Amino acid sequence: MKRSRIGILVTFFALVTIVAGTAQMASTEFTQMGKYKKAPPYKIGYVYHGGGIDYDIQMIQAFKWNAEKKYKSLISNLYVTEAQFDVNKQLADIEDLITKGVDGLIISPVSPSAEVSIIDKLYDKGIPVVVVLGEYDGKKYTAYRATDAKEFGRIGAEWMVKQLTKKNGSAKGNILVLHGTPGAAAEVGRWDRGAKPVFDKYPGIKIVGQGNGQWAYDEAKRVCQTLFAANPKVDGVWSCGGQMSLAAVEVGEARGLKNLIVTGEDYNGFFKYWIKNKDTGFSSISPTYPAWIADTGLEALINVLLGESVQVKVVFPPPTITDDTVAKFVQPDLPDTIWLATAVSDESLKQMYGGK
Amino acid sequence: MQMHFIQRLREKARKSHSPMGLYFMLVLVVLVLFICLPQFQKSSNLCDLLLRVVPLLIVAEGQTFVLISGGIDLSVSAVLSLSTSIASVTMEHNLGFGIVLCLCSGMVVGLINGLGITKLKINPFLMTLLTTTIVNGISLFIRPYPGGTIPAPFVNFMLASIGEFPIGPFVLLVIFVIVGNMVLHKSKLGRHLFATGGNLDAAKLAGIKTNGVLITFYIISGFCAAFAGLYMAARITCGDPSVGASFQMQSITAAVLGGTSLTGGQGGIMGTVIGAVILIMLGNVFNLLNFNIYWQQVIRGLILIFIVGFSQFHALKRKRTALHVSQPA
Amino acid sequence: MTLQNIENSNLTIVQMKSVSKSFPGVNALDNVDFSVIAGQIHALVGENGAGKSTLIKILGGVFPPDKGEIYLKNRKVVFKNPHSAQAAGICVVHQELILVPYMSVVENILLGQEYINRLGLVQTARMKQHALKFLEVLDARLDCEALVADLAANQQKLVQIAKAFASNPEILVLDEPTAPLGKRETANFFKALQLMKERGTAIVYVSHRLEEIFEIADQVTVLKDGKIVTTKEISQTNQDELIRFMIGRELGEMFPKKAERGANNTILSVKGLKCEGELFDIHLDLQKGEMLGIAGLKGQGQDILLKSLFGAIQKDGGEISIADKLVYINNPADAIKAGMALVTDKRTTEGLCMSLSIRHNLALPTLQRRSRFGVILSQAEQRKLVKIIEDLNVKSSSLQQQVKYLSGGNQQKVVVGKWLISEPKVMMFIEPTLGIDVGAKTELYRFIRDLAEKHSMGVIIVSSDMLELLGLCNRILVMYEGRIVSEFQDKDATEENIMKAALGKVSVSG
Repeated sequence: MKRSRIGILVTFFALVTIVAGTAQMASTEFTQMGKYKKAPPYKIGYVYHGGGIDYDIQMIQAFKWNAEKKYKSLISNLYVTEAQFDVNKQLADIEDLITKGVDGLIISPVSPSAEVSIIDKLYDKGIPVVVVLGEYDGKKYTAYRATDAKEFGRIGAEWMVKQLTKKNGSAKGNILVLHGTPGAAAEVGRWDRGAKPVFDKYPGIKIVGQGNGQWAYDEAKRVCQTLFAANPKVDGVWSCGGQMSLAAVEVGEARGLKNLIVTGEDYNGFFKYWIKNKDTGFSSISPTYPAWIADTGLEALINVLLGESVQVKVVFPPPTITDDTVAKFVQPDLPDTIWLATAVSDESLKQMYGGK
Repeated sequence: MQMHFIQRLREKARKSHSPMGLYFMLVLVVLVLFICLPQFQKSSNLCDLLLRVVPLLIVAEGQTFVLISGGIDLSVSAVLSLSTSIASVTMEHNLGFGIVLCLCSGMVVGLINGLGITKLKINPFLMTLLTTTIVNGISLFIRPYPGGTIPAPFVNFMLASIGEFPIGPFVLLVIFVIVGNMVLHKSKLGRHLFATGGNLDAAKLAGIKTNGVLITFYIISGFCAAFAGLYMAARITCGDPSVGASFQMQSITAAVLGGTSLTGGQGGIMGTVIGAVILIMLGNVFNLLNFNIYWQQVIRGLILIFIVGFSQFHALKRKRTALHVSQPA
Repeated sequence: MTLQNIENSNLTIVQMKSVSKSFPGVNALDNVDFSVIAGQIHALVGENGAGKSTLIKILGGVFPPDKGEIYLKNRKVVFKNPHSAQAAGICVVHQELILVPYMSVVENILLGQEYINRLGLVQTARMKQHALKFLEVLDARLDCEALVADLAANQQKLVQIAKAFASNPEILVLDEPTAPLGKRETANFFKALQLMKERGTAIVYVSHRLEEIFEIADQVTVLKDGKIVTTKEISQTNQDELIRFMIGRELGEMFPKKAERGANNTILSVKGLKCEGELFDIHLDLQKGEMLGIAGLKGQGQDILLKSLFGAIQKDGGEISIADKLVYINNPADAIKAGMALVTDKRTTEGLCMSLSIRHNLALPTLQRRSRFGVILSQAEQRKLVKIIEDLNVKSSSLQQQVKYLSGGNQQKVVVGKWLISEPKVMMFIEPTLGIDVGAKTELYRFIRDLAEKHSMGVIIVSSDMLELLGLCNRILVMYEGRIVSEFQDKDATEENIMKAALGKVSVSG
């Protein structure tokens, strides 16, 4: 049965609007009008933090596609670099794109603090720089667009606490933690500043094992094998990423652990598992990290180059998919590796800007 | 007159420690780039390159010493990261103490590596891998996620520049190259290092205290990695437990590109400098040409094979010629 | 840097008393008394496995004796390691080259004794001058800045000897020093030893070359099965007597009766073989059951000839036929399939896998014969191997023993043995008895002769030992500068004729 794309579109867009609306209300500082005005066409650089994992591949593709569609006449060159989670490389990427003479940069930082000094310098030199996607500790930037990674982590952690209370009578239990890569911006936001403080409040909840899944399904599976082998009876897993959640539930089920309390993300494979096991009592929660946030960053950059004024800081709470809404998002006939928020956004953008 | 000069040049090339062929190739490549890629020529780009070469070269120098000894040091990345972590928590309280602690941490790790390899006879690959894991853990303990402060005066000192030209890093580069050269090629310790790596038995029988030599150079490698950490801390103005990750493989690659043998007994400072420069230039050129990242990896690998293959071929040819020349009576 | 000037004094520098040493299963040395006098050359002879290398190792501080004492100038000494032996003035020139391959000649000679100035930097010019002196004494014609790895084997040996001289030892121990050296170099070496004698150095000289011993030594000690058989003044004995002490056999019995040559049964035919710069236009024929010797000075192409026949070295032209069938040899695997086998002069590096057992080494080249679907059938292997070991008379405790624990002669037997299993048609040897004691030599000679006589193989032997070739072979070719310049057989085959041809003064071929 074919899924109704319009139905999803509407639901998701509704979510986004509500969310965006809330976010807009939070901060009201705007950039100076005309500060960065330049005549088009523009050379734009996108300094991306990752590379090589499915999320990144999709993300960059969607970004390029969007830029082409929406700003074809305005952008003469779009340069994308991938730092593959290496701080040193990202510094080189930024420097090299500046050498190439870009009119503005969009940066998704590898680490929340390592790029601060170089981005500060760029800002002071008057180069428009938009920071997107990740947790960032710097203060000097033209614009900042991100989903709140801290919220992402918090939502999942608080849901787990509720589930553990339901299962064990009070806020206690044994859980595993699947990290992405320590030190990466997403990790710092979601875990160090989001989920961990929540768990710290409940001494009854014990973290009996931790591992680095590096946001890759295969690696996460390897790590889970070891973790579950060492801790055969756990109640749940706090996961930093959707593809790792899938690995966790699969490994857990293979060891006879059904209905683990596992946080998720909009990874199609995980959603498929979720749907399949909903009737037997499996429940989860999926905050999302929609990749189109970067598109809003591009939008901000183009606008300031055109001489307009944009809101400086916009932080979106992550749209969250629950037991009730998961059925509307899962795509059983598409591959596991699709990130549904991005996929939907492709469609939504197509619909919205199809005319241009 | 011309012939004589060329002949002498060839003689020198045949005997020298430095990879002459590599020099020529590098000059050639740089010339080509200068002509074809206008962006490459920009003074700002060249200054950027210098900033990037310095830390890699420092780590690669330490790695070169260890490789010549017949071993390998995989812990350099962890030591570097640890150095930034320590810096980010201590420097704001006491700059001098912070610097000393960082350098000492590197030397202590080097000492542990050296002891494990000489006294416990653990294979260097395995030993330094173990220390990597431990040191990374310590880094994460001190600095679970990037942050901390690096005082501005320190940053300004390390990265001091006159106008656009980063004089600070340049001076560091020159100092490390000169001292490294002196230690490796002109000192008794350097000779003993080559002997220990070239033929351990011969070195021992010649009365060289090979254990002492090995431990000394692992400590030096740790020091270099820690020093590079101080530099990187200035560059990123914070502590980061993962900033050193790429240095592990890159330092080895730079050394091997420059003619250092993975089996020990051969290598040189100038070669490593060239190797480091080539690696940094490659990354720069890829970005400037906007190469797809996956092509980047393929090309990097191919270039490596080409360069290493070229120098191997050169070395084999050498042996044949020498044998011909020296027939017994 | 001065030695005590001990002119004509009979001062005993080293005295080993009642020294014993045993290893698991083997009594290497049993109650040995051995002394060396200053300014004298004391030769040490004996079969392999007789205990010579153990004695040298104890003297050199590699390990201590189980029982007994060592006295240096009447003071008891205990060596904890080779370094302390060196510090006491003992310098050992081992059979194996202990040099650093990628350092220069100068650096190797003065390794551990570098000159440094006040800054701690090495003074290369001074060192070069100093090192050159030792090279001059040996009249070693080589580039002292060259890397040791780029030198030929004989030059490397000279460097090793120069290094020993440079350490200015009171006691010099030499283990088969002339093995890789040519005649001129050996002569110079002996002159240098004479100088060392005059300076009062005590010299221990281990060698299988009895002629040399009688040329330079003052005393000689014979070791057999770990015990001293006798110690005599050289002037009071002769070669035959020494050999008798060593093995109890007369020299005359050393070479077996020559095999009868099968006529008109060419097993190997080579036409126009050449290797760029090394071999020029080689033609030769080998009959079934014939033993063909190839003589000549070192490095005239003999080794390269056999290696290129075997496919170990690429040839640049020529045809090879085995049993009248043209064969194309591009690598040793092809050669083995065609029925050839090659035993080289470097048994530890080219002939054996040292850490493997006897059994595995023997089985190596012919594994696929005994395997079905890649799995090796061990019983068939076992039976064949046992027979070979018996035939060869390899002295070892079992087939599983690692070859690195065997003596040189026994190792060589294993090398030969592994080729036998493949039942080759042509068997080639390069210096088959290099560094092997008299007893094992004789056995090997008998064995090689049997290859030709009983198994009808064609045998080619390259050797620098003329007597060996004269004693074994039916026909002898002489090579000079990459060409076959002469052929001798029957009564034309004399030392004089061969020598002349080897020196390039081509005479009438037989």
